[in-house]
Amino acid sequence: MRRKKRQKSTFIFLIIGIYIVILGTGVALFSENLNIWGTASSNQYICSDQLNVIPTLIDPVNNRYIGGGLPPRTIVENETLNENELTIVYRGLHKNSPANTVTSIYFEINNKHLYSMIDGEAMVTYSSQNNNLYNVEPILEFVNVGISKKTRVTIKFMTRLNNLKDEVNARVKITYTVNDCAKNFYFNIILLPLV
Amino acid sequence: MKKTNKYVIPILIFMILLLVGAYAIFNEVLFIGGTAGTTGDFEIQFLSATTTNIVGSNPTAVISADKKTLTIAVDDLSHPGAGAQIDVVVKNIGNIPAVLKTVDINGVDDPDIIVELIGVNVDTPLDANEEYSFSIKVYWDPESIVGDKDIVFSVELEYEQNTSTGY
Repeated sequence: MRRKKRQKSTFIFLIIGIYIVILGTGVALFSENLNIWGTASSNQYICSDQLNVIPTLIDPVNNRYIGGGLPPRTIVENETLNENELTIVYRGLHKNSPANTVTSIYFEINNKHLYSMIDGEAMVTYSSQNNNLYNVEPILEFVNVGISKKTRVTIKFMTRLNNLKDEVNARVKITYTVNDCAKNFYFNIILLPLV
Repeated sequence: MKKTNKYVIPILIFMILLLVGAYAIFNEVLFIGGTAGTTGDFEIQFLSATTTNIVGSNPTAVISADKKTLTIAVDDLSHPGAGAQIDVVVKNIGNIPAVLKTVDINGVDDPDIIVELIGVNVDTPLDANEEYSFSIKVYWDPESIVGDKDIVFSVELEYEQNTSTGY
């Protein structure tokens, strides 16, 4: 009796086994794998010194980069921003402008890096035809700028544009540290008198 | 009483015969003969692999002879931001509709060298004779300051018969 029962169990297991094998074969027939093997390698890292920012106009309503404090009767004829170079064409309508007029030029830069820009510094070098520019001071609104955030850059200077022919060239160097790498952005400002 | 029984039985038999006869007249059987066989051919292959958007690197993409394996090499990435894109086309050359069941990616966890799969979606059907395109982007993270790296990665695409399109 017991032997018969064992034979019956063996038979059932055999059937189940055959069924699983058939099922497995069926799945294997209609399943397929594609493989992609890849390698990639990088060279030694060399810190690039380009700060990834885009200068923009702060005041698009008045469409001006140059702010208040213009010498009296000085008119800005036009301003053109071409990548990182701002050209301001002005017309002076007076012969003896008062000294110590503080003029400011504003623009914004936004952080396009995937990391914060930290420890910001700004320097400016300039040349003026008749030394009518002095106390030139670059000011960064924020020393640290988060990802996709903006900071205002102000270039303050004092001027005596008294001969109406002064051409001024200023080069602003903005330095931030991005992911342990010091990066620079250069911004050129050209003041052109309208002859 | 006996006389009545004598007629009832023949009448009943007659009515049954009549009913059977009538049914036979208005009944017809149509036979449709046919055969069915399984001639399924399940086969997915790499059709092409093209390198594009190459920046500061010299990438290669080679499909094996059996068209089941694609080998990519994006070596000598010269600077952060350097990399390449490999546009891949897969084709169902069989006659059974397939579906992308799983995508198994390994070795892409390096923070400095990024491997991205673009357009690879699980459960995307691939009918017989149809093609499926996707891309693999390999590049040195533009913000990375770590170089001198070697990575090895693999991607396994498992296709199965698409049972949702059957009867």
